[in-house]
Parts: sequence; structure tokens; C-alpha cells
Amino acid sequence: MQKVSKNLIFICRIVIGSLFVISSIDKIIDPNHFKIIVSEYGILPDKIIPIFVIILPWIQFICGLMLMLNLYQESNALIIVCLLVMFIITFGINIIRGNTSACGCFDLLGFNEKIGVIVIIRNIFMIFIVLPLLFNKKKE
Amino acid sequence: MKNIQKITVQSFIILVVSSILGIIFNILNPAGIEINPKHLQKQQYVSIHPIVKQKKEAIGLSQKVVKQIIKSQTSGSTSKVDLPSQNIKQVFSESTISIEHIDLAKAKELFDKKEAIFLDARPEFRYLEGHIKGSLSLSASMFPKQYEEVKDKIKKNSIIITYCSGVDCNLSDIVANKLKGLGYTNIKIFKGGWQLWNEAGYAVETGKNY
Repeated sequence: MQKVSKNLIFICRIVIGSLFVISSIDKIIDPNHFKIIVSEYGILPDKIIPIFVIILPWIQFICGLMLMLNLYQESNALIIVCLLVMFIITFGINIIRGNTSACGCFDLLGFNEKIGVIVIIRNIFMIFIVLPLLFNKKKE
Repeated sequence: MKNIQKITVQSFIILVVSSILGIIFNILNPAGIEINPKHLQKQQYVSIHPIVKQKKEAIGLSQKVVKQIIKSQTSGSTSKVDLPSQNIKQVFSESTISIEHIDLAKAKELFDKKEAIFLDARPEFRYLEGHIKGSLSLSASMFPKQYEEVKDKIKKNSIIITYCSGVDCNLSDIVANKLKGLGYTNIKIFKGGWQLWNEAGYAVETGKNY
């Protein structure tokens, strides 16, 4: 049982970590495209968008990478949960407004997907994958 | 309790370190974005500047010529700058300075003569709410996907006019430059955009009719 639990935690770390790293790369390489997408969300004030666009992809990248390397698992899991909740709220607001502009989620993989219910469901699913990492205490 | 505090402090440190890395990378990145953009015209200055900086270093342009070029672009004038050599002209033909900005009167004239194709650079849901009559949706964020839908309708030698919401919007510039990169040669940007056109009471429509 312990072995299954350990393997499960390992898989969760790798899956979530790699998804966040992949999601961040395109935003780091092409911040202008990500800036357009964030502008179209219509949530952040214009003055905050540039700094947000610069910082968020690196938070995703570092947290994803550290998670895959099993460094500060709980802390990174906490940040990732907070990011996922933020994404869900952002997409939810836009869906209510009728905004179906680009999601900007996994453009590196060529998805070019729009904001929609499926994206929200996917993020909720990811939270459930991250939660075991948040509550799984490492033995000292 | 101690564990929660520890996790919170670690999370904060990770956030700070990540943010610092992001800012440093942006400063070093020639394609980085301006953290504190001023007026749109100055933002255009910033968007040109990385190109100018690279080209300047490559071809040894003088500061005076560089300033002249940037000034002509940010003032919105279409007058040409006297460039010193053919090589430099060729280099700068690749930059943003050759796309003409037109006003409401010119846009209306071309619309009435049915000589131009209007492209709406705003997000598609905005286009569906209302757009210049006959225009096509080609948003900056969904450009690759939407371009496949409209490319048969816009010939390379057509007069193309991009627009977005208004004077402070630069999505039209972004779409215009993307089209230029694809080989379109006769592109104009209608800066007044949807706001001016709609306020003038000119022909508009809703939905997607193509």
C-alpha cells in the first residue's frame, strides 16, 4: 500500500510538473502573444498586465520544475493550487461574459484552444491531482 | 502550525525568486516587453526599438538616423526618412515602419469604393457583437487558426485594412505585422477602429456572415 502511494505521488508530481513547465515555455519565449491573450481576458488593469505577463510564466516554470525534481513539494503544490484556482476564476468570469477568446494554455503544443467549460473542468481535475502532493508529508 | 508557516515562507521565497528571474530574463530578452508602457505611440516606439537596436548594431547606423526613423513612426506620419544606403533601406523594410496608418475619412472612402478588405483584430466574441460591415475576424490571439479560415478571402495584392477597438488598441498593429510577415504588401491600419466607425454611424453588422 505504501509502495502504491509512493508511486502515485511520483506520477502526480511528474504529470503536474511537466504540464506546468510545458505551459510556461511558450509564454516565456513569446511574452507578447501571452500579453495579447491576458489583455483579451479583460480582468487585469492595463498597467499590471506587463509585469503579470513577465512573472507568471516563470512561476509556472520554476514550480513545475521543482515539483518534478521533488524539491519543496508541499510549497510548490500550494502555489500550483493557487494558480489553478486563479485560472478557474478567470475563465469562469470570461465564460459568464461570453468571452471565448484564446485560452493561452498549451499553445506550445499547437492547441490554440478557446476559453470554455472543458478548460475549467481540466483545471479542477488538475487540482485533485495536486492535492495529494500538498497533504503528503515527507518522512524526515 | 509550524509546518504551515514553513510552507508559506517557502512558497513566498519561491514566488519572489521566480519573479526576479522573470524580470531579469525580460530585461535581457530582445523581444521582452515594456514593464511600464506609456501612451500607445510610445509603445510603438518600444516595439520598434528592439528591432532598431539589433539592426543598428548589425549595420552601424548613427544615433541620429535611428532617432529620425523612430520619430517618423511615432508621429504617425507616412513621410519617408532619408536613409543613407540601399542596404539599410532593405533592412528597415522588414520593420514596422512601412505600414500606413489611415484615418476615418480614408477608411470610409476605401469602404465606399469597395476597394479594401477590412480585418477585425479584436477577439472573435467582440467581432460577433458588432463589426464594420463586411469585415472578417482575424484576431491577434487566435491568428494562426483564424488565418486558415480567411486566407482564401484575402489575396496577397488586396488592400487590407486592420482595425481594433480604438486609438489605444494595438491589436490592429500586431495583426498587420503578422500579415506583412506572410507576404501581404498593401496593408493599412485604421487606428480609430470600431469606436470611431460606430460613433460616426457608418455601416455595421453583427454575427459571422461568412
